Amino acid sequence: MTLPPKANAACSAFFARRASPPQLFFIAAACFPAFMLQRNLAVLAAETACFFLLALARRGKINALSPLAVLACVTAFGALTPYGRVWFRVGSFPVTYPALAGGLRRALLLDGMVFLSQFAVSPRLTLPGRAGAVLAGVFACLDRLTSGAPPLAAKAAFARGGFAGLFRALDARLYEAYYRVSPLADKLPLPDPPPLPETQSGGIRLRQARRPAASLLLALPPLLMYAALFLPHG
Amino acid sequence: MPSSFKELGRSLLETPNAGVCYDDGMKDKKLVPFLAALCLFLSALEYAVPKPLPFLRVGFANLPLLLALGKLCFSDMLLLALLKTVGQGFVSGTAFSYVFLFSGAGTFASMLAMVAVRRLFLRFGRRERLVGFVGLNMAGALASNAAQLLLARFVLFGQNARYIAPALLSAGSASALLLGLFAGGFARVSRWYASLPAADSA
Repeated sequence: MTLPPKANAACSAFFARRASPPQLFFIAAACFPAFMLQRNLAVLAAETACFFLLALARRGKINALSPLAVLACVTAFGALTPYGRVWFRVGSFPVTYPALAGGLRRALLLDGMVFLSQFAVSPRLTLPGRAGAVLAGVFACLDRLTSGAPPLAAKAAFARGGFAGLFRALDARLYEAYYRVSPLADKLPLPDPPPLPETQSGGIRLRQARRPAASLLLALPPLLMYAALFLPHG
Repeated sequence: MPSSFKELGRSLLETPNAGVCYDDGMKDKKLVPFLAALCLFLSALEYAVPKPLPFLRVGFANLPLLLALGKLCFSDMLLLALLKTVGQGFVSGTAFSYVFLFSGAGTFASMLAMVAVRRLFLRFGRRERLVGFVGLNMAGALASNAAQLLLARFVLFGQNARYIAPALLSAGSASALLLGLFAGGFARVSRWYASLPAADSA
């Protein structure tokens, strides 16, 4: 599922102006316990749907088939152990409401957590300290592997020389990427601080602070989710 | 032959020349981040492969772990497994989900099993390789699937996890066999792989 280009551009601009990756990460971390503890199935489904929309807005496109398959499979597996009130029958197999609801709850939790993660976490999220530096080194290597040289024409290499041709092409790419990389662990690349924007007159102005009201809006979702914990559940 | 199981366990974790060391003891520090990046690259490639069930994965991202056996010491293998798990969580955006837990459990179980099997056969084979990439990958795949099934049993499906066990184990074994053959073929012809120093050379 993909957002239309205009909507995608508007969402990207919104997130770039209103919230940094660490802010989104902490907001999602704050939402996480309230989501896990939610017992009301309808509220859980609504929260999962909201996370889906947030992840779609943040990323621009999401694979919707896989979460739907997970929802169907996990719910069905939950219903395989019937207990309690029989709701309906599939042939002679009784489908009970508690078992089905339990499976559905697990499925919604699973999908909701994936969407929440997709909203909160991105490769641009930088962790502090040595751990962040090591991870930044890994992403720097990934950048080297995926950019620069012409893309690996695996199909063409296989068509020309079979597996031997494919292995040679892979080897050439790895050799070039590995020995072109400077020793990373000795000087692990830390992300450069963003340059301060210059005004048209040539002076340097201070970075514009994000509007505090917009930042407060971001604190609303966790508060609402914790308040929803007190709703009655069936 | 080790005289007791305790000695056997200790011997499986130790090697005479631990670490990726040159003669002057300097470690090749760029290999771990490079292999971790390769794991992430192959993981992204794996998402493009259509899967019959969402839980069945081909296992491309485990290839660098397999190739790293014998090139990295145990602590570097642990670091590689950790970087693979955390990096995949960041790239695919699943760091907060059960997927992260399953990925971590599978990766670490697979890595520990492969290291243990390799050390076991090296110890008894007196430096002759009695097990190749196929055997190592099969051991890793079975350990990974077992760890994930245990998690599925206690976290997701309860006792119903037994219904997915046959499909998961047979698909995992089949893909491990094919990937092991692929890794063995690649390692035989690769200049890059041959240029990497061995971790436990005599």
